[in-house]
Amino acid sequence: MTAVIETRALTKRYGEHRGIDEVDLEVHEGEIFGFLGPNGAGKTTTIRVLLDLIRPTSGSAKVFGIETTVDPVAIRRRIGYLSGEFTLYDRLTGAETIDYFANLRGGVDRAYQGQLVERLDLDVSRRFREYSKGNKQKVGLVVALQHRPELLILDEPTAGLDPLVQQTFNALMFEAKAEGRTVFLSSHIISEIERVGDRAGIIREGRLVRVDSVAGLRDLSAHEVELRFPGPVPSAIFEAIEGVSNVSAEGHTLRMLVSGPIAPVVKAAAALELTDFISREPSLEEIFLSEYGREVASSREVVGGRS
Amino acid sequence: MAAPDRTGPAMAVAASGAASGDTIEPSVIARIMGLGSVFGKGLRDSRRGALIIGVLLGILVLITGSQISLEYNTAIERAALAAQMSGLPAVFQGMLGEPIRIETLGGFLSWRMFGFVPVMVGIWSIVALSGTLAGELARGSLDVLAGGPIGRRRLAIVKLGSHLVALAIAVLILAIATFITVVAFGTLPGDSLGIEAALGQAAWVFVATLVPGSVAFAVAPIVGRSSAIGVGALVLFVSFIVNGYGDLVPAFDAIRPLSYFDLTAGHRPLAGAWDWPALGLLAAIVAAVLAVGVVVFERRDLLVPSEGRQVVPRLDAWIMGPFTRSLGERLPAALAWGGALGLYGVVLATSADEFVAQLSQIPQVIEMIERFFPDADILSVGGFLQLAYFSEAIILVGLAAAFFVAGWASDEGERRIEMVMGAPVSRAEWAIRSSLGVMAAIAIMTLIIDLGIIVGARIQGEDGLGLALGVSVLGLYGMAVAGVGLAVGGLVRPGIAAVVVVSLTIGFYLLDLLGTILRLPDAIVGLSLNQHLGRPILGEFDGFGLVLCMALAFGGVALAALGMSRRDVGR
Ligand SMILES: Nc1ncnc2c1ncn2[C@@H]1O[C@H](COP(=O)(O)OP(=O)(O)O)[C@@H](O)[C@H]1O
Ligand SMILES: [Mg+2]
Repeated sequence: MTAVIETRALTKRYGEHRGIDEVDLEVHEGEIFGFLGPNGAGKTTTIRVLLDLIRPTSGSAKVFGIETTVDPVAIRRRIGYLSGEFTLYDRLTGAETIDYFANLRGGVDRAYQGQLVERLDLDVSRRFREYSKGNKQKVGLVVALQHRPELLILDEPTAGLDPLVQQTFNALMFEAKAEGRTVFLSSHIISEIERVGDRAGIIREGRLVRVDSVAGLRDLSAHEVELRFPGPVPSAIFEAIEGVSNVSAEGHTLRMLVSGPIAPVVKAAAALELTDFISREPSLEEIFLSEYGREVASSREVVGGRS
Repeated sequence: MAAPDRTGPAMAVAASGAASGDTIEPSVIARIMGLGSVFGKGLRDSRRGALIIGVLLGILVLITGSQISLEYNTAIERAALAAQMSGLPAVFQGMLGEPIRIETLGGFLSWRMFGFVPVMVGIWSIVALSGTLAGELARGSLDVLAGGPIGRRRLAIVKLGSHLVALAIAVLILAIATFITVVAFGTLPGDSLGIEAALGQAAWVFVATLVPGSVAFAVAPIVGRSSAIGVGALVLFVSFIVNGYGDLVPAFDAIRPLSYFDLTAGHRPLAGAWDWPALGLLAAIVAAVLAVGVVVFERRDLLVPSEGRQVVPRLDAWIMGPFTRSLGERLPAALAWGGALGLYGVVLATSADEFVAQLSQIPQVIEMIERFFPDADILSVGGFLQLAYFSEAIILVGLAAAFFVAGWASDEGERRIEMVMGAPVSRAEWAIRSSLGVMAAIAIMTLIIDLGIIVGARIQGEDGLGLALGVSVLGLYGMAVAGVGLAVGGLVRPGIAAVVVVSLTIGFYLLDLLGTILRLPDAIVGLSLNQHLGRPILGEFDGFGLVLCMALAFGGVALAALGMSRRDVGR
């Protein structure tokens, strides 16, 4: 598997402010890689380094094996980029805008360009400033896709798109993948990545906290188990089981988080009188939140311990 | 729940329609200084600009006042200076209107310095007030703001109020500095003045500054920000020029009563002349225009309506690459600036004959002119244009350059460059090609100005090609200051590029205007680029200056490219 994107201890500071910290990322050829993180996590920072819009404070980033600071133009020739925050030329129409970017690349396949415009249902006769947020985003998507790049780098591409257009977008991503092209897209909405992604990396407060297949992320995750008893709640039995955490009792209900195999909990529960057993497989969204929540909690404990 | 409106005294000027509909409010302090209200936010945003402008003007008054007092330290010397200045035909005086009691320190300051202050601060007011609503509209932040509990009219009034307070702060600093100057350096008998004179002068600065700003404010919601800046600048400079050259140009004299500089010409408290009715009338007009602006904003749909939209013709020529894109973006403004300056040239050129005829009837004046300009044929269309056109149009050319540079810088500031950098274009290549687009816009503007001069000269029966060649030096000057702005924008950050160009233009102009009178050393006056342009309309080219301009222009482009390829893009 060839790495299309590869970062080594990539760090970017904005003066005193944190940008990203020692990010080691590897995106393979032909995959759709989701880059997940809450707002301010460092997704855009990472992507802007890949484009050589900003330079690393330390560490390095390679795209197609080319160091981003060494030959950015060679990289940009082979990618399609959609910025997370952009405006374009107010006075140009959508068509002119799209053609301008085609011209910057020395021309594109007109038929494919027209097809994209049609599938995204974009009226290209309007001036850019007249477009709504969603339509501006569509213009940006056509700009990023129209030359069938080997690698798509899309920063929050579905922002402002309605659900119908999101479906079209997903289809376009699958098509790119089917043609052997690579997609790197960022998002703070897990369900989006869940639908199209092969693998995902979670970034939080500038650090890459986990990289896994979308399925793997789910397996790794905790199950939320809720047990109801007719009588008193036997908390201690479950607290002793390995992988069980966050046990809390509330009346006749016992809640816990189970990471890893769930069988020990099921066996223990089977030996007891139960009125109900509920286990939920969390969505990627919840995995993400639990990841986020747990670290916040642990950092609080440290603070609490000192005071 | 009708709480009293506590947004500050300055609002009285604008609040022709009272704000209504209140909710529970944050503390007064928070509202005024902090983020507690739109007003506080607006004030915070313009506070720094207001302080800088106030302090700079204050320093300028102190320097000018001290120099005058030290260099002309006896009543006789002062009287000689006054006689010399007053004796010059208006065209040599700059465009500062009638000299009133300029033998006194206050009189001189009010004439030579304050006459130009509403122009300098007026530019700030235009830029700020055109942006208060239109800028927010473009950024979409108003959708959020106006969607909140605060009504749209109230929003407009409050944002306006914060600018008025900021301006009042700047003007107050100026008044205090003026008073200090008069107290500290007013050594001759007629010099002493009370604080009320400084405040009265400052009141005029306040109102006069707001005239073009209020117009820009009123039209901005309809025509957009950059056109509003153009309209405001037009009001400012037409009023200034028409008033300054009314004596010379019959066409200007006819419309002079429309100029607010003419209306308030009798109000010069530092020279002991007061005219509150005129100032009051102007203030009422300003208030009315601002009120119109508020209403226009209130009635206008938040999003630009796209009904009745015309089919936009395709402009393939302007989407070929970064150069054509940059030029295409600047072109409408280049045509407008060129058209306005060209028209100004036509009017002046066609008035030249009459002026020269007038002058040649007064032998003393001719004698004096020959003393001042021994080697020049001043009694010609060229001589007149050199004096009346070149030395003033240079500010406008500088401002046009700043406008183009601001547009260039906005590609990065507004993050258009983000998407461009996704294409296989290197940063340096983008910087060079887009900067050259700015230079090309200045060249096109200059060609249109040349055309105006040629037309004017032809009407006068002169050839005009030589004159046009001389006027072209203005374009070279524009490219030079633009080059510096581009270099700073590329090396440091885009946000300050246009500010640098405006500051250079005004700084060069003031240094040139005041330096000789203040008897500043040549080494200092020589820092003004305006000193190195020769008298090109008369055929006297300054080779060093021309080369310097070229070097600044193209060196600036190169430095912009160097800077862009080194630093982070988009901050
Ligand atoms: N130009 C900048 N100057 C200072 N700090 C910045 C700048 N851009 C981003 N940051 C900071 O870097 C962190 C990561 O931001 P960003 O990469 O934009 O996050 P994301 O795209 O994941 O929302 C944030 O804390 C943000 O405040
Ligand atoms: Mg982002």
